[in-house]
Amino acid sequence: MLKLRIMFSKSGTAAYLSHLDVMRTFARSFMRAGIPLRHTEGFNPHPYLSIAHPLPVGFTGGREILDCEVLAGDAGSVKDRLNASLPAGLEVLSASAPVKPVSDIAYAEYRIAYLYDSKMPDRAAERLNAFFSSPVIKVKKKGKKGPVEINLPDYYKSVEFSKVSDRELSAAAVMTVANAPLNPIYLTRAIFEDDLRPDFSRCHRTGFFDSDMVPFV
Amino acid sequence: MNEKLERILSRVEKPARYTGGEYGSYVFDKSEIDTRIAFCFPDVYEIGMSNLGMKILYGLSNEMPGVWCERVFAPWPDMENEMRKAGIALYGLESGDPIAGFDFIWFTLQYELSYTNILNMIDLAGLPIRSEERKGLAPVIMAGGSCAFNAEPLAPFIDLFVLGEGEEVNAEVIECYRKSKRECASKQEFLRRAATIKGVYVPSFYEVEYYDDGRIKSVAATNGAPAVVEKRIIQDMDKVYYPVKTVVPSTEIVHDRVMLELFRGCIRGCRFCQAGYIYRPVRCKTPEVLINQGIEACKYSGYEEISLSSLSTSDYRQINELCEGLLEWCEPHNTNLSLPSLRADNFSFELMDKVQKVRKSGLTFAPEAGTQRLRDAINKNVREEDLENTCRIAFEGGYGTLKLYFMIGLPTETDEDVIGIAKLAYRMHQLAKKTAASKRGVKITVSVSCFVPKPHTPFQWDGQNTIEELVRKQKLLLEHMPRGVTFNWHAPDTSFLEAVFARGDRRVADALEKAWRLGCKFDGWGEFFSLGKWMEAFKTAGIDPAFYANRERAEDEILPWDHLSPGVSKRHLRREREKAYKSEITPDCRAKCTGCGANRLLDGGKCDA
Repeated sequence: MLKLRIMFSKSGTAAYLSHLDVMRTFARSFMRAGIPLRHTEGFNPHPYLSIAHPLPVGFTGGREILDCEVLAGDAGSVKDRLNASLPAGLEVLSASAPVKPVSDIAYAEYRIAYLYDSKMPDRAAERLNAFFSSPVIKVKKKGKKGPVEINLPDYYKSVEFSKVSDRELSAAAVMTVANAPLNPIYLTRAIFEDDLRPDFSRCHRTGFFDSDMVPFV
Repeated sequence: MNEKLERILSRVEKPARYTGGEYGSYVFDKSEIDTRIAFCFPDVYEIGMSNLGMKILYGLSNEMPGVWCERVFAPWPDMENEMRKAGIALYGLESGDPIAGFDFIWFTLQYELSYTNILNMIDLAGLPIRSEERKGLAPVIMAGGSCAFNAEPLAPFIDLFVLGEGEEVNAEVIECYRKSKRECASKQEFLRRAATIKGVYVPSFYEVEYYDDGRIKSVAATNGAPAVVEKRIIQDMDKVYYPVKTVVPSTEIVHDRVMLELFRGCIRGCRFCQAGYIYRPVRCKTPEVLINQGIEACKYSGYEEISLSSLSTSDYRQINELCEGLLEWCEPHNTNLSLPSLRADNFSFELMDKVQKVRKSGLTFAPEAGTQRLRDAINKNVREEDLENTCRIAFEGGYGTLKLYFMIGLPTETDEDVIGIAKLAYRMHQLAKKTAASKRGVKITVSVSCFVPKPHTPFQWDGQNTIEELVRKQKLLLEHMPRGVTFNWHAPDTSFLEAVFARGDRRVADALEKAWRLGCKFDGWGEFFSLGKWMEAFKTAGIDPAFYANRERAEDEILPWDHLSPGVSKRHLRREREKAYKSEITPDCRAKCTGCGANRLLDGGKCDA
């Protein structure tokens, strides 16, 4: 038996797959690739697969993490065999023995594109940077027992906007994931100045970091 | 993906239904393609993707050189609204291209209550819904499937129908189209040529006249079309294309597994069952072929479940041999085998135990009627003793749930028959109490649907019970249903509408169009169905729905589907109806040939019942 950490990207049409969809798709891809996975015992055996901090539907991801246990085969061939068995938009970047536990992940970095249909407001990037550097930004978040108020800056390390074109801004957001990770969609929801709200946003997670901001593998 | 679509996908439920990109979907370089087909399923992705017929015809078409067949499903209303607002026309999942520019648009007809979705999808594609308003050769709108055996309610909208199994005839229609396109033939000329292909029905070539009282006076074929269109069948099931490579959906669908079709047709001859008549004659695959196809399909797809699907699976002669062969591969590969469609009279526990090594799930049987007299009348040759024996062994063996399916409103039914359902449920409940090995007892569920008379069955002349009568029978049943038994029933409203369209003629098309314009769609989904809107549509179209649903027709009346033949003779249906009214059974086709006439469709005329 071999414990493997699969780093993969999720893009294009695969962005619309839910966490469960991705799990099911990977399980079938292992079957198709002829790589047997360790299954749970009992009435309804299912394979041991786990994805760290699953992406919300609609987001793309550059370096996502899937941990699994394969019964036979070597790590070397897993990448190519799986890639031949995966649908469009899911691609294995590497497969190797995990070094650190997933619980060591402290931050996730996102690239968020803000698109404005008409011309975006003057100094939009500067205004947004000023807004997100405030130490207190209260937002309502859906909780298990109804909405709760949270302080947004507790959930990110940095948010930095820059101008891409006359209708597009790009934000680099480093979110904390240690305790309760927050969907970066709340960043957009927190913007109260109407003209700064984008008409459409696109969200991409570039990868994870440990507490020293070293890229997590 | 274009940004317009990307934006709306962020706002709709289950967006993965609208993106394509699944493993196994066919994507071609357009420069190699001369014929593009949109295969449309007039219901949501989860249902359409579960359909074996679609998998077969999709795979087969894409294996034809120069053909690219793409899948299209009905967008859920939230998606439809977003598409209409954003100006996105209905597109193929594989290419994302609008289907209005394709050569063919195919619809599969599974269910009468999806007809409004067909009109809606043609409209969403940006095309006029009526055939006569689509002047050009392309796209040719074509339909097939079980409802095509009474194509009349859709006659004004569809250019041509295919009767029977599509594996061969679809390819012939494609070739005919290619030739017509090369020769710059008109749509009319193409249809004339296509009408000479066996199994093709071009509704615009038939002229229907009516009596003043609404009955059909005559149906005349024009343009050289045949007086009666007979369905097509596949002769050799072992040689027919089977889709080992299928599209494997990434998102959840209803039947998400490998499906193996053991045989086509059915030996039983239940008198209410349209499938039992229109899929005749019986033709089987051999176990070797099935075992091989099942294993290859699992390896290709990564599915961990195989389901054996046919009309009455346990009637397959070599069922044991087949299951053993499959299990030999399935067990070491964590793959389940499931056997739906079992009958209470030839149910084998040995087989069931083999298949369900670990989990004893539930048992499901369909006695269909509550008394032996009525079961005999509908020729559902299940005896209560068989059901009782089977259930006793099951309860003693630890099975925890029993589901029983019935119908009300069957021809010859009396209140005694209706109450018989409750009595039967009571006896099963008592039996469960006495014999259940499971500590939690046995949960019994009784589901009762409303009978819809269907074309090409012995009950095609019978009137459906009115909605009021069905409601009365449901109430009667509810009063008598024992405590401790879960009782589910279907809304008679939708069964009424189903009955109108199942046996409608081409005049009901106007009501269909009116209803769609009033906003009817997804009529098979309770949350969208509105009888009020439908009654308004019937009224403005000048159609009396009771004329089609509730009226008993004379046996010499010309029926709207008389010129469409599944191969079973009307004489046989009349004979079966007579026997029904005398509560006389007809033994299954294996015991004795009933002379239905469908064997004529086979080369050599020998049926493999």
